[in-house]
Amino acid sequence: MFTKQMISSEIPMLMSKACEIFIQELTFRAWMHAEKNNKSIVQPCDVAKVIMQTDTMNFLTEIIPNNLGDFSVFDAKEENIANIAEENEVSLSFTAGFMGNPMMKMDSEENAGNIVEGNQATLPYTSGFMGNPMNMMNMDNVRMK
Amino acid sequence: MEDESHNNTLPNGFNTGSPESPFLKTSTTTTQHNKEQDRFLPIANVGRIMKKVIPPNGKISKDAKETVQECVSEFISFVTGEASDKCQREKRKTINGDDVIWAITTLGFEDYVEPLKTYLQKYKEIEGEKLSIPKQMRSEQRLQQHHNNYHDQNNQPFNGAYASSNLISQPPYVPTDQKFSLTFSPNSIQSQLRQQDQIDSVGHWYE
Repeated sequence: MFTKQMISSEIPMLMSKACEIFIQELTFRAWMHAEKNNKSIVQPCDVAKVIMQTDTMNFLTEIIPNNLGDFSVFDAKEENIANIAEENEVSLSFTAGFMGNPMMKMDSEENAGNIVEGNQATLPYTSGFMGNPMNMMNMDNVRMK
Repeated sequence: MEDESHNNTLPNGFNTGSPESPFLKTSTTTTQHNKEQDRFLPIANVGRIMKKVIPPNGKISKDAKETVQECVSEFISFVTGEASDKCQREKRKTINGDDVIWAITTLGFEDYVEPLKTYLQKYKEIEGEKLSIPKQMRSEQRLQQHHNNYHDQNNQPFNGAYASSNLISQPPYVPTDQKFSLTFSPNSIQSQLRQQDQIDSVGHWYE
C-alpha cells in the first residue's frame, strides 16, 4: 500500500532550482554536440546523444525512442548530416566547379531539407538560392559556422 | 505558434493544493490539452532556461524543447521518488529538503548539491526574516515585490518569488550570485549568460 506523504514548504523551491540546473546542463551538453557537427540549431538527436554519453543521464534512455523513432533512424540521420557537411566543404574548395554546376548544390539542399524535416529555418535559404546564386555562397558560410 | 501556458505547475508533481497565483493568466483548455499540461512543465519556461546556456547565434528546435520538457519531468519523478522511498524506510511522512539533496547525491548529481544547499540556506534565512514581520506587512511587502518584479527584473530581490509556498512561480535566474553559476560551464559563457539573461528578462514580461 502507498502511505500518504507530505512535503515541506521548501521542496517546490528546491526542486525548481534543481530542474533549472538540470535543464541548463542538458542543453549545454547538447549544444556542444551540435557545434561539434557544425550545426547552430540544437535538435532532439543532440539531446539523445548527451543522454547516451552521460552516465548520470542513464535514467532517461527509456524515453528517447519515443522521440526519435528507433536508434537506426537516429544513426542514419547522424551519418547523413556528416555527409552533407563534408559535401559542403568539398564544394567550397571547388568554387569554379560550383559556379559551373549549380545542380550540385541543389541536390545538397534537397537532402538537407529531407533530413531536417519541418525545420522552417531552411525555407528562406531555398528561396534565396532559387533566385540568386550568390546567396548560395552566403548560405554555405552560415552552415559552416 | 507556441501555446504560452502560464498555469502554475508544481515541479515535484505533488498536489499541495496551492492556489493559482493571481498574477498568472488562466486559460480554458480541452481535457486532452489539460492532461498534456499537467504532465510536463510549461514549454515556454523550459525554452527560456535552455536559451541561457547557448550563445546568441545558437538556436533550439521546437522538438528539442519538447525532448528536454519530457526529460526534466522524468528528472523530477526520479529524484522525488528516491526521496520518497527514503522517507518511507525511515517511517517519516514529510519529505524535507535534506531528503531531496540526499536523493540528488545518491543519483549521481553531486555537482548540484553545493548550489542547492546555498540556495536552500538563503531561502531559510529569508523565511526566518519573514516570520518576524507581522502578517499584514508581509502581505504588503509581497505585493510590492511583485510590482518590482514586473518593472525591474534585474533588480529583483532574491526572495521575490519564494515569500510563501502559496506563491510558487518559475524562479528567475540570478546572474549576480556567483554561487549559483553553472558548475560545468567555462568562464567565457558567464558574460554571455548575463547578457542573455537580460534579454530574456525583458522578453519574459513584455512578449
